[in-house]
Amino acid sequence: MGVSNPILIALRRRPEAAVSGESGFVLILVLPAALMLIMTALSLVSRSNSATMSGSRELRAKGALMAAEYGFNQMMGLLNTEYDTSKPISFVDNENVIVGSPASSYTILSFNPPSPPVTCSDISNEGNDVYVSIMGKLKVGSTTYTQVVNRSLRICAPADKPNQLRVRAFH
Amino acid sequence: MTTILPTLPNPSVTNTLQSQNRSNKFLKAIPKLNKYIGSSMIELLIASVVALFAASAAAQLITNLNNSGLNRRAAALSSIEVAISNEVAWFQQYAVLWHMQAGPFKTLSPQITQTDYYEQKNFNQYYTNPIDCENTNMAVSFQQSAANSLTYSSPMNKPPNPIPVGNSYQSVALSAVASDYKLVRKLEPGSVPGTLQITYFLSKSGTPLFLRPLSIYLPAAGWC
Repeated sequence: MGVSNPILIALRRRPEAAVSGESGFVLILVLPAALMLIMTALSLVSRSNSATMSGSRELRAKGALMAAEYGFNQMMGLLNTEYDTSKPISFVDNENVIVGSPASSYTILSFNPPSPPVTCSDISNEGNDVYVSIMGKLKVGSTTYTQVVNRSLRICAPADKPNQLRVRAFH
Repeated sequence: MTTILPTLPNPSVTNTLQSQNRSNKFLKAIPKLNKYIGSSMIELLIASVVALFAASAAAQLITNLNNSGLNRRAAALSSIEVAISNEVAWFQQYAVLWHMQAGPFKTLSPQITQTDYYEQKNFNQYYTNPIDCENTNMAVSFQQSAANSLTYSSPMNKPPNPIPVGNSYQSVALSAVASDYKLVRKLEPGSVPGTLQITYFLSKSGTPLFLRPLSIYLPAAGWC
């Protein structure tokens, strides 16, 4: 017996015309999985990029720190050998380019030599505490990386060479 | 005339049941595939291809990043920094002990100090040969002592890499992650007496990447 009521016929067909079960499965499971994979890949790329960028910046910042340390060591050497308390020279605010590495430089930001310095012998630890700040720079393209180190020195004047200074300790 | 319509079923339940029915129909009458089943199959096929493509692309990206990409570069540069820091730390430590005559230690081997260590004091005291204070002599003398294998006893460890006498280049050992890079170091007296200059050159496949000069202050210079 055939069904002749048009409404019943329409109702019977309706479920097949709607979104099918397989289609729902695709939408609910497969597409989110694909999206998740794509997002994971993008996230990895993003993380890797940021790791590389921060790695490069760290490397350059380290270069600037090395320049500051270089300046500190040079300064101690100069105090031992060339500094004359009778004709004090100003170390401060002069930018010194490091020989062999034109992109690197250091600047002594603060240094107040003792006046007069404490006299010391070879078997004692008398001296003045002096605090210094040195800024190191590294230029890469248009970007300049800077680092500042702050240190303390123990300085004295040898008894037999009162116009000179000696760096006896540093921290 | 009143027509009694059948109760409308719950769509989700109906779908499931009808899906089963449809499968049966599908199996029983393949030539009579209806258009709705066809479209679902195509959707499934396309989505599967898309998912496979996405998974393949993601796997490819991950492989590239891990093996030859940016991660490897970051890891390599980091290991190079560690190698330089280890070397510099060794030189700084040795510079503090070199020519020490009195200091925080009860005893200290002359193989390290290269001079006699007399006593324990609350400050460091050094021996300096007046000849060493001239020009570059101190740095040369320091480098010779550092290169001497007898200096490698407690509290000093062996240097991370061999120390040559003279200003020849010495390769610095790098970890496997930085095997594409070449790091060499040169030691020479600093321009200022009492300092040693260490210059690091980093290159990759012959292309120079950086040149980094460092200066080590020799505390014995304070006793000139």
